[in-house]
Amino acid sequence: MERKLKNFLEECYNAVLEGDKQKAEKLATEAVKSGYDSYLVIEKGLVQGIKKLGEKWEQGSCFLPELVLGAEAVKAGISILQEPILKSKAGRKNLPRVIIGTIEGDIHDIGKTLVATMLSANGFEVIDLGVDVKSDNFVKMAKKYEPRFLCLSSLLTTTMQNEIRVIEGLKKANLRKKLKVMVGGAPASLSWAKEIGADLYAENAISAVKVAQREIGHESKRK
Amino acid sequence: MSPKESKKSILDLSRRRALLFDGAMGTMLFSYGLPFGTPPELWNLSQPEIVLKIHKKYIQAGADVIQTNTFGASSLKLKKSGIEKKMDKINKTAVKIARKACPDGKYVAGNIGPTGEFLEPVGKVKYKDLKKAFSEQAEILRSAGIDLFSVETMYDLREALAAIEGVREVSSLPLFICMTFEKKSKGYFTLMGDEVSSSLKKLKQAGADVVGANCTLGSKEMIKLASVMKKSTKLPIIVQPNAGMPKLVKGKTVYLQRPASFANDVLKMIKLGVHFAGGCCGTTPEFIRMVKKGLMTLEYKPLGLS
Repeated sequence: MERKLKNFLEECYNAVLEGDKQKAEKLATEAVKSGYDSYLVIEKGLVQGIKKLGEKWEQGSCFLPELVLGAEAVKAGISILQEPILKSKAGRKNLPRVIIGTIEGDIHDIGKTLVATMLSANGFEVIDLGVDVKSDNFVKMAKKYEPRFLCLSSLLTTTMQNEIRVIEGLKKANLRKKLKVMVGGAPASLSWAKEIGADLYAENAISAVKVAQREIGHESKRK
Repeated sequence: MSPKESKKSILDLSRRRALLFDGAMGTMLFSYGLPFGTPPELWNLSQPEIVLKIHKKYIQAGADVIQTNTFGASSLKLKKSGIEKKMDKINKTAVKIARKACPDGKYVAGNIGPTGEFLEPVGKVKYKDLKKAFSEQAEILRSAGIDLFSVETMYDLREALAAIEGVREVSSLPLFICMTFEKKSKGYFTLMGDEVSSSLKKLKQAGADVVGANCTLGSKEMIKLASVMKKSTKLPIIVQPNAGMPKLVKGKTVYLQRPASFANDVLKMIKLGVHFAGGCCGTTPEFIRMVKKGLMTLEYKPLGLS
């Protein structure tokens, strides 16, 4: 890789580590102008930064503010870099789509939004339905947008039962096999996922990205 | 009891013996049928007799302090459910109910929780907005006749400081504040990365009378945190751990920890020099009763109070 590009990618990486949204936007604009490969800048620059922050977060050496600001910087950069990609239909099809929301009866949005942000910072197309999402609405939106993943978030143990209703709704609408259901939130667990018939469980935002990426890896291998 | 007397008495009393707070309100309300998605604070208006019953059960169990059902009753939090216009009535009624359950010699704490909003730059709200929201809620609680303030579950030191400043704008009543810390490989930190020792120091400087931790951790883990806190501050300390960690068994939430083991852990913390103890999520009057029972047999030596 030529030195100039290497330095440029490192600048992108640092902008994310520093949570500097403006710098990330400036670099992304520069990349588009200079004709750099957008995927390369996203994958080898911005996303490396957020991965590093994710590692630090797991180790307990960085916290929510750094993670959120870093993810915001990545998102801002990606949205500029993606413009040329999204103009072509083929490009749009390449982004794995995710629908996410907090379950009916639960208005907690911190964890859910963090997962959404991290997924989109890692190159997923995320449709965030918000909080207190009616079970029917999850099904309706899944039908409309045909996502690869449907992510259900819950913090209240009392309302997480509603996740069962979403899964039943998906079965009735013949959508269950067309997507993977991922559950998360403080009271969720692998055994909860199994119990309600969900496909995947993620412990936190970082693991949600890993789990989704691993799943895509499996799917492409099967093909 | 005038506010001045009450300030003197609860802080003074804690030099002679450990004082007990109540246990959970939210999980108790759910066990009485609070429907999914209904803000627990609304039951101050629609089911006051159930809130009263829970307060009375905690008093009967031996709690010295009961906390008003106003954890999520700041304007910013109520706004999320679209009921911020009821803020005044919800808070006033909550104090009225708690007062009714509270005999002489026991205390009513005005409970205040986080707004659920993040400060800039992570979120959209400004420090002064948080301070204003806390100050508004504190003023209603104060004028309705509480004995002390209990601010809880703060995961951002800056929000905690806004709460203290907001309360201090309207009242000089005793102010108890609990942060909520997670265990990380390098120690205990809030969600926002605030560390224990410097947090407690800043809470003191801002005007807190009693500092401590609640929620997130079960009683066993809280013992370790309590000893870290004890080393970090000379202020009296409060702990309100969860009843272990919640588990879902066949679709039902179960707290597997037994009241006796919870009580055992709490007594260990009191021996470490903790002055105030209660329970958070999953605890019931039975948990408080068991702590009380243990306390009666414990020789109390208050440690390190300045």
